[in-house]
Amino acid sequence: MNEYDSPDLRSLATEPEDLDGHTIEELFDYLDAGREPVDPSIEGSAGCRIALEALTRLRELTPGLLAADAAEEPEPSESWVQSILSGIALDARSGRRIPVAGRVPEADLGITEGAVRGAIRAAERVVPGIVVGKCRFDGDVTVPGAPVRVRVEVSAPYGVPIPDAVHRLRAEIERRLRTHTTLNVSGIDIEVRDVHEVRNPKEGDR
Amino acid sequence: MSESTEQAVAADIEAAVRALPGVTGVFRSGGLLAKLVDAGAEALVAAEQRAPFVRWETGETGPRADVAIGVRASAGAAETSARAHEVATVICREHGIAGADIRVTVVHIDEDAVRATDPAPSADS
Repeated sequence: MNEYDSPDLRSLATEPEDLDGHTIEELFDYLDAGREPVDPSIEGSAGCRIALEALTRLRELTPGLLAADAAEEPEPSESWVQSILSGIALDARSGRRIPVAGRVPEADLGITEGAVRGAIRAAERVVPGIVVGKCRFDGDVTVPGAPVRVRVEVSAPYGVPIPDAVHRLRAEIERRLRTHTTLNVSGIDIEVRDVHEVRNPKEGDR
Repeated sequence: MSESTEQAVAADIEAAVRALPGVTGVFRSGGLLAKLVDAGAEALVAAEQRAPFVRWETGETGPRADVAIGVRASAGAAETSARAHEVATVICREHGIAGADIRVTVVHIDEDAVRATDPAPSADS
């Protein structure tokens, strides 16, 4: 079994129909192959690219973690991995077009909701081990200047002080939203839904 | 404006936007069905003959270009999309087209900036 052969990750995956004709399972296979040979239909799909990046980070988190989750949760549909995969699938959907205010007022600029959700998810990099589950926007993101509240669900690694982790994650999400959007963010709510144990794969099962 | 001229403008916009710093690629515009139809048609022709990913339409209100781009996370979507709009406006002007409605949408923020195999999303360019 190689490091990507976590028990039932593929079977836990949802099957979004809007990954430009691809499925999460196909993306797993593509990652297994090292994204070679390059598949233009995958690499040319924004949704697939968003999902690939999130899946890559998820798999890097440690195969041991995924194995532990699968072993401890006999009902895969209820596992946090399933929840995270659902969030990734949601990210891959372009969703609403969020207007971006540019230097030239009449310039029609925008960013998809999926791209913003993907950027928010990638903020998990600043806190090793933390995993962003679902992300949603409360408020009408399509109306310039309308207050929008960002709500993010996360799973935190065991042993990491949660207040500090949340503080760092919120700061990074705020920075990313400022860089990529002109949303009027009224708040960023981070809910820690569970705590997971991060195992060193070399330790094996305990 | 003839269809070939429209294609030429769209292709020039795509090339200019793709060359901008911070832009990782130009993606197909349109919904899933349009993308699948385009991809199917594209499979039948050589890469250099494919239709531009920039969608150009002439409606009742005049010409309109839809540009979907990916950007590097470090470059910032807001800033990069503004520059893409500027360069697309210049291209239209060079083709003698005034008042085109240019719509730029960031569809992907690339966190993986150092990936060697980045094919600049169209992958066939």
